Amino acid sequence: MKDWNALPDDQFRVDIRAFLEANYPEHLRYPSRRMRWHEVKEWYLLRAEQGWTAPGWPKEYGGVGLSPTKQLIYIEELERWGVARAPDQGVIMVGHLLIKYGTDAQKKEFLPKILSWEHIWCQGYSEPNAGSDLASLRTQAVEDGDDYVVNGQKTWTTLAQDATHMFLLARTDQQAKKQAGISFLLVDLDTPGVTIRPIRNIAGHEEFCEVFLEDVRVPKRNLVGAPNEGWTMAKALLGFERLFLGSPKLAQNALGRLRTLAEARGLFSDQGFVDQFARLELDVADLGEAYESFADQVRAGQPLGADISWLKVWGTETFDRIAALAVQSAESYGALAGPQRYGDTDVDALVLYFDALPATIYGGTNEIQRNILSKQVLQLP
Amino acid sequence: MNDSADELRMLADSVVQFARNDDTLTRTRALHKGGAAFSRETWSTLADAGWLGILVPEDSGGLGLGLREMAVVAEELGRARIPEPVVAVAGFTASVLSACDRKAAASELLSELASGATIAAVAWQEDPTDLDPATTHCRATHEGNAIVLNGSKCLVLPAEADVFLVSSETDEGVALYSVPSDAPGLALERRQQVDGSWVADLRLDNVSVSADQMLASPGQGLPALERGLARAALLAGAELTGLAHRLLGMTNDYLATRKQFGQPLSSFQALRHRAVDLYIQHELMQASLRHAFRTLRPDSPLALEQRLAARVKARTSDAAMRIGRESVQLHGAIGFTEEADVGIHLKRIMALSAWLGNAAWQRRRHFELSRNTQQEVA
Ligand SMILES: Cc1cc2nc3c(=O)[nH]c(=O)nc-3n(C[C@H](O)[C@H](O)[C@H](O)COP(=O)(O)OP(=O)(O)OC[C@H]3O[C@@H](n4cnc5c(N)ncnc54)[C@H](O)[C@@H]3O)c2cc1C
Repeated sequence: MKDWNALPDDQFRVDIRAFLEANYPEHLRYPSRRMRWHEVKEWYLLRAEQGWTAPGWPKEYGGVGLSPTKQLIYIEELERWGVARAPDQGVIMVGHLLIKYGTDAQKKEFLPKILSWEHIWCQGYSEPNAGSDLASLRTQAVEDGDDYVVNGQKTWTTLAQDATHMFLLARTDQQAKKQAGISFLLVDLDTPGVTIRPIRNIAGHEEFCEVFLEDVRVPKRNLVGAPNEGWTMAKALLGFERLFLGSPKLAQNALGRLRTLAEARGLFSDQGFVDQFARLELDVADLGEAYESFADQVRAGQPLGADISWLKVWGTETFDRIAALAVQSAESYGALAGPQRYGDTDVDALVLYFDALPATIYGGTNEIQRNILSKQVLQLP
Repeated sequence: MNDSADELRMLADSVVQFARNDDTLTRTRALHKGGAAFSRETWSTLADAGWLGILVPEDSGGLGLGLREMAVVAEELGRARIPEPVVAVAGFTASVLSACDRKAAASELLSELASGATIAAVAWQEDPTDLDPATTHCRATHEGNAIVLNGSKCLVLPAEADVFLVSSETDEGVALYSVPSDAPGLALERRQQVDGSWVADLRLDNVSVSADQMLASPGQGLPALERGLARAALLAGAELTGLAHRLLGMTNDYLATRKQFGQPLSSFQALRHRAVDLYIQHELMQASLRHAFRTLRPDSPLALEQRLAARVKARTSDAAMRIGRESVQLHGAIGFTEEADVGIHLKRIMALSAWLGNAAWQRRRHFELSRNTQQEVA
């Protein structure tokens, strides 16, 4: 197999770009909502055959093992071409979890099926009464022979309707205080007792679900790490999630869309607009630099610290400001549903707006990130 | 003074009463599911209550009241998030018609509008990025006894109108004609907005109208449109203020009831401060509206009305967008669902904010209009 890391960065970019332009299905560019698995399946299965499901995973586990810089270039090129996202929790979360904490048997059982997309994962953390206060979660897992019996309800589970598996946090010790009694379980969603109900988002799309668990039997071999150690692992994973959510890709893509719109509308001859745009451009540029340095840390095998929270705050709020300016720049089109023609491309300012809207909520709200930063980084008494 | 304050309160109360019986949000969701923006049946109810005729002179079957009364109703309709396009029709169209010089034709349409029999919409804009009603490429030419219209219009609200007031360029300036939606040569393309309402793009291909369909004669169309646009912007500002107020109430209630970390969200200082910031935004909306109505007289010159309207629309669009965005944030994930009331209000705010010039556009306009005034004074 080609050694991608050996390529000069510019050459790597050129190759990736050429590949996408030649191969990525035109009708899936710049989707106007989160795509369902059946819609993007063909493309991702093709990429899986080429060994490209997990560019960031180490090679020994079947990833591409790209350097952080190249991962960033890769993401930039995907965004530039408007490539639709897959239900990728397996790649971005479960992979890292198992590589770090999984047993050999778990790695053997699950990692190859993540890479082949035979398993599609969803994240079962949030519950109706455990959002920001995740540690107050009530879903319980009680030992019974070789199994845990799980009861409870998860909610806001992104694309659970397309998933085959869920990684979830459940309470295994009723007596222990909050964080201390939580474990990490891998659940096959075909198990009897699982009910999945889609929830429509503000834009009318079935993006997330509620998942009811009633006497769901989960074999003990699907426990990750030690019992009651789930919180520690979840926290370590959250670092990855924040790195992912803080990546500049959403903001970069939005800025690109805004640029298209602005050029078509001649807004760059308007000094007021140029000032706002230039500011956002630098906001994104420094976001990119910060992202690279956090990603370097991961690559060097160092754990991510609490400071990763600022990346999530800055990334999502920059995205939000860009989306707001796009809606404003769309002028009378700012309320029209669907893509509108600007020059020779279509831009859907509302899609940017509704994509940016929840980004400050999921993955730990920005208020919670600020709480973490003030406490753990600034160490304010 | 007190009499009129009482009258305004009674007017507001009547809308509150209506909204209480209407179960508006459930009704709106059901309408949207069927692809409809609003209900013709409710439209008749609104007409019977007199609200569609507030700006219509008494001799045309209206209540002959002023902009201020209409604003009170608009604000209450906003608070209830009524999906019917009351401000677009009974505010914008009625104001344009009232300013038309061809009184007989205009008065007839006004009375149909007040009775709810006819929904009429102003077809004035031709380019989504140009909000100057003087930019009219649609042409009216004489052909024998008839006048023939050719051109296109965009974003006409509501698309469901029975009649369009079409602005057209003639050799002597802009004129306005009433064109029924089923007129031969008129093609209509509907586009949906984020709040579920529909706007229409019109193409006029040799649409033939008679002399008595002329509402504003050549040269008189522009001042009528300018008057209507200013009043509509003011009224949209009032509706936005009502919507924002409703959202504030909802959000503060939610903060007080939802518990995380064993305490109500409202106990977290970071969130209390956010709630206060939003409250200030709403106070500012009210201040701009209050200023407008303290300043306006029934005979205020157009330039003054335009300046006040720009100020109100700039403030209310900006503040409402902010209140909407933040209300979702303060609700967490539930605020991002279709079933949450926050979202349906935010989407209405997005539509009204973009309508007839968004905050950024109105700010610039206000700057230019006040500079002109200052130069005149100097
Ligand atoms: C599009 C989307 C996809 C999601 N996907 C998933 C998924 O796949 N899996 C999953 O498990 N979860 C998912 N979530 C849920 C997400 O993690 C939660 O929404 C988030 O943790 C916030 O919880 P909540 O919604 O209950 O809000 P709440 O915790 O009720 O918070 C409401 C508001 O109060 C603020 N707040 C709460 N506590 C404090 C405090 N102490 N100080 C200051 N402010 C505070 C919050 O910041 C927020 O603004 C998703 C959410 C969204 C919107």
